[in-house]
Amino acid sequence: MTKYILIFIVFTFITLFTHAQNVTISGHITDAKSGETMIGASIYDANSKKGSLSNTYGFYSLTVPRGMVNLSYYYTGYTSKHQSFDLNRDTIINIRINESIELKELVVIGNQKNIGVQGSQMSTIDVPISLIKTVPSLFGEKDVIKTLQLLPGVKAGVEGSAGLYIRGGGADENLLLLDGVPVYNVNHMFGFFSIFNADAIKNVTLYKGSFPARFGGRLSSVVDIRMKDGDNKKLHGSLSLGLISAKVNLEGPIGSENTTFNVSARRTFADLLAQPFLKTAIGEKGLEKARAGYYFYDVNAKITHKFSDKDRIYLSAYIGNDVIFTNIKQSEAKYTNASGGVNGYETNWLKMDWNWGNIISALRWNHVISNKLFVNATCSYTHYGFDLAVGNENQTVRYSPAKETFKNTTLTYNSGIEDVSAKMDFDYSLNSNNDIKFGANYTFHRFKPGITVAEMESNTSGSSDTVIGDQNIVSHEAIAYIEDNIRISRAIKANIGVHYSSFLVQNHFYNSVQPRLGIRYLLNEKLSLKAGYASMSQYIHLLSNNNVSLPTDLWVPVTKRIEPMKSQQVSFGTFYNLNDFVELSVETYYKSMDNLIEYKDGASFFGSSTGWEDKVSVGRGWAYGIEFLAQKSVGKTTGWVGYTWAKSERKFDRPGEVLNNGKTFPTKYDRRHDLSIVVAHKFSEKIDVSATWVYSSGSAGTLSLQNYLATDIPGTNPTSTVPSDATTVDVTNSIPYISSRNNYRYEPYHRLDVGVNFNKKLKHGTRTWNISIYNAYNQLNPFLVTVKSNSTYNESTHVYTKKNTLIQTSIFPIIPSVSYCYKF
Amino acid sequence: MKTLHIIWFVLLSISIFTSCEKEIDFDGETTESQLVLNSFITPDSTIAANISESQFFLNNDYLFKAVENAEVSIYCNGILKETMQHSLNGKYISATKPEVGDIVKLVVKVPEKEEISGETTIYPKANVLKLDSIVIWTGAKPIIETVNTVDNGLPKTETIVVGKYRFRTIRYILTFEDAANMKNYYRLVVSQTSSFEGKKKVNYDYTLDDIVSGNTKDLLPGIPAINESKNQFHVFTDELINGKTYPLSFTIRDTASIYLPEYQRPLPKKTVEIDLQSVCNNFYLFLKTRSDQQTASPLFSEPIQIFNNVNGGIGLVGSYTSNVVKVTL
Repeated sequence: MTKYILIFIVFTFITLFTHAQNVTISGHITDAKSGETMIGASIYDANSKKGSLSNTYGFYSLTVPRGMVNLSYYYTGYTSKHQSFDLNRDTIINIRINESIELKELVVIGNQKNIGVQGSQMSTIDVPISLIKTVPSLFGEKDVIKTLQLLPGVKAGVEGSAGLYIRGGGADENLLLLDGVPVYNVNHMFGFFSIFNADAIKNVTLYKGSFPARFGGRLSSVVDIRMKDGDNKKLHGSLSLGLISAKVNLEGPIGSENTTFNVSARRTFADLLAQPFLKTAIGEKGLEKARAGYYFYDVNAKITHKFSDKDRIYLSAYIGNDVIFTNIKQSEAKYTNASGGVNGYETNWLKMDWNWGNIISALRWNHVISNKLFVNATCSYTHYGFDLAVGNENQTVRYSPAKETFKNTTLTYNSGIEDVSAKMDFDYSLNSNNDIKFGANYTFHRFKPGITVAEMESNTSGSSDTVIGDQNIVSHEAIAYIEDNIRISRAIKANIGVHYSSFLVQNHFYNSVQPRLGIRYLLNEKLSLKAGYASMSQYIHLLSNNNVSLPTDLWVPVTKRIEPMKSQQVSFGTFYNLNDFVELSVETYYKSMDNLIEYKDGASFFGSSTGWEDKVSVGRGWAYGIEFLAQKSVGKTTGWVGYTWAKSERKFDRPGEVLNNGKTFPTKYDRRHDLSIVVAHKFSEKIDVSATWVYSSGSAGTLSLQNYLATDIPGTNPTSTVPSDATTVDVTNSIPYISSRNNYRYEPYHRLDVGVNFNKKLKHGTRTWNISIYNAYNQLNPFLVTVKSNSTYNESTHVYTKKNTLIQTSIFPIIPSVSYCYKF
Repeated sequence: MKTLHIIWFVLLSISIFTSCEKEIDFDGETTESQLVLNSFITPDSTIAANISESQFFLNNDYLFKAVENAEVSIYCNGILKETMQHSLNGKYISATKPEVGDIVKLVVKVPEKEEISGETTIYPKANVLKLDSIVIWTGAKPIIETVNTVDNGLPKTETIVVGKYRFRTIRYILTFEDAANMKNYYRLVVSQTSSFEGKKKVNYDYTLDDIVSGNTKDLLPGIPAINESKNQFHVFTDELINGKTYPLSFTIRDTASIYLPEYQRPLPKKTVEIDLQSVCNNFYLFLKTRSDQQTASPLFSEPIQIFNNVNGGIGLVGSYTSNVVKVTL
């Protein structure tokens, strides 16, 4: 494979210098109404039949032969714009395009013209935020991640969770970028909601394979999420109130059109509503003045300033936290003197605060060096932290003789990860056939693997503190990349590149060269064939042994023994545009993965990274499948049907690393069939409805299929009863035996969600009532399957009877929700 | 209309919050039973083993089948020592007494079954240096007895206070030295023998309140642990104390009976046995995973596989070496 890629690179450079006498048109493409930059908009010259796309910052550059040009600008859901003129020199044209009135119906997956039939990229899907806001969701919380779960090749984790398992990969193999900055914990509420507030987001792009060279660091996917810049014309906003949270969004210009801001905030409020009930409940037990609860919040903010057509600066930030708090007066006692009078008191308080979340910030500068060369420089900071503080406060006061004592004890635990990085990305439109991207990135990682500090402070027994845990680990990661989106002929287009990464941690140095290739062969204007290849490396692991995301899950770097995970993926596909009405695609892939880690039998991780290397085995895995997607993105009725047939397996058979007796086993979310149907229909400006139906084969679970006798352990009190006959042994003390991993299939999963929006134009804005029903036909889908054992003893017959049954637990039955939104 | 609203609300609430559990059928394959070998070996004691058959998890038989026709061979350091004799209910006994450092292997052959085997290495005794204790009296309550008397010729029942129970917490600090050149695994067993109960040994349900045990539960009094794991069998490794002299602390709770002079009676003699066992890696993993399996929440984690080291079958061949310190209360 590498040999062919090298040949391709040589061929690419030959084509680089074969064009002359061209001129370049460049500029920014923005929404005419809000001034928001358009990502991935198409520019096409009908005369030369050359085209280009706007980049992440709305900048485009198109080189065409000197002379008459016939330019068209396209973006799905927007009215296309056409210009014809005689072009004799390099020209800057900033384009503003209007949202289409005719096509204002619900928009589904956007920009398929770019990445669908015509584009060289495959295994990539753009998901516009309008779609995410349309899909009905759990408790009415619009969720980016859960919308991605409806796409082929993407599997959800446990019911209701925001986990992503893409093309057989693990939950920690996805690179989630918020405005280009990695996010390490994307979950609120133990994974049932994601941290991405749909009000703050402009665009989401999912890469499942055939990764462009500019991305790296994870094996299975890249989710590139871009925040809105803010309206540069006038102040806009929205207020939303849902079943569990309230949201506010505000955007607009600051002073002039050149500076804009966008701020979105969200907070759950169940804790506020619960306090009176909690106080009443606990007060009955004499524990008044109590506070306890859970909430999460997040704030997204972005300021954009345009210095000139050539220079823009962006400052974006995110802060979000989940908080669990307890403050309970455990006891209060009064001292009395001999005459029965009060002579003092003693109080005991128990306090606990859990707090976990992300802080992300990025400062970026765009500069148009020339009409062919665009640079983006970014400095960013990302931090995920988990902090726990639990403590007791004891205070004793005596009036006579006067004496006051106190003892405060606190246990704190902190863990997390933080990165500081700097990067430069260049877009160079060399000629009409070559759009080159290149750049470099340096990241300083600091891993905080869990420090416990125990402190005691007292005015009678002094103070003490104890620190337990591992030192912080620092590492240095550097990458460089170059990719060329090259038009070889009218029919053949390719995206070819190479990604180099290196990682230095605790005197161990790893590096890798990762070739990337995406190629398209256009059979006709409506039909294309595509192929892709990507090699990926990953230098960090997430330690977790839970089905749901817990805040104690810990990121750790590779070590001398645990080498970087690697994957290679090849994919093939065909894309067909049916009368500009329906886009059809079929993709197939094979992915091999190496140096994967799994917990050894019986090993577990509970918030401490100490000795984690000894708890895991290193092995390999592979995944393959075929994905089908049919989507209708225009008209009153829009939607898609996605189907995936997939298989994902692991094998750990290296000496000293054997798991499952060295035999192949399926991954937990190895679901053979996955079908999702998403439909939205707009009846009028006042009413639109949407529905999703998902069906998937059961995921794999581990079940102990045999039980065996637990012989009394020396040094414990005997538990077995006396054997009742000579050939059998009492089973009251039995042990479940797990013969192999993921040896049981859960029942298939299926669910229907429906939603309806009632819109009404008011004097200063629009209000929308949304009513949605999650799991509309109340299907009790499996969350967990366990064995329940009931033993009974008949006193008259002296006979024990036993009955073991399989019990399936479901967590989300039918859940209706309602939300109100006012936009102005 | 208002009533209808209330009914609607109640029905809706029930539909949302009703239990989401249901019994389902097993549609997988029924797996065959396997041979189970369990043997806990300690030096200078004869080796015993239990052999039985596992059963399919939906098998509702109350009793496991004991295997009585097995040929069980003992190998010490690769040399065949003896073939064990069946005594009762699948229990096999021998005359072989292994020593510290021996590698003991048990090989089990049962007609029409595949051969199974398990192996363990016997670790040296833990080096206990001293034992200190602190007693804290925590409270008392009267000992009340009922006596039958005669009052004016009539039988009468009286309750009288004959003494008091005094409650105490005893905090022991067992200082031991960990061997530096090897990975060690420990288990602490604390038991009490009372002269009144036929010298029957009863194990304490005590608290191993020390961080080396991996149990942060009582790191500070009254503060719950971050991730409390019960460590039911009180096992720990030398991960944090490798090669060091370490004071391991634990607490037991006890009651002393003190009778009034006129009601004096013989008091039981209580002996506390503190056994710091040096266990093999296999035994440590078995005990740890059994404890984890019993305390893990199935909602959040995959079922925990209890460690077993029997090739071709199930079970554990493990070893422990005791070092007992006795204290009379």
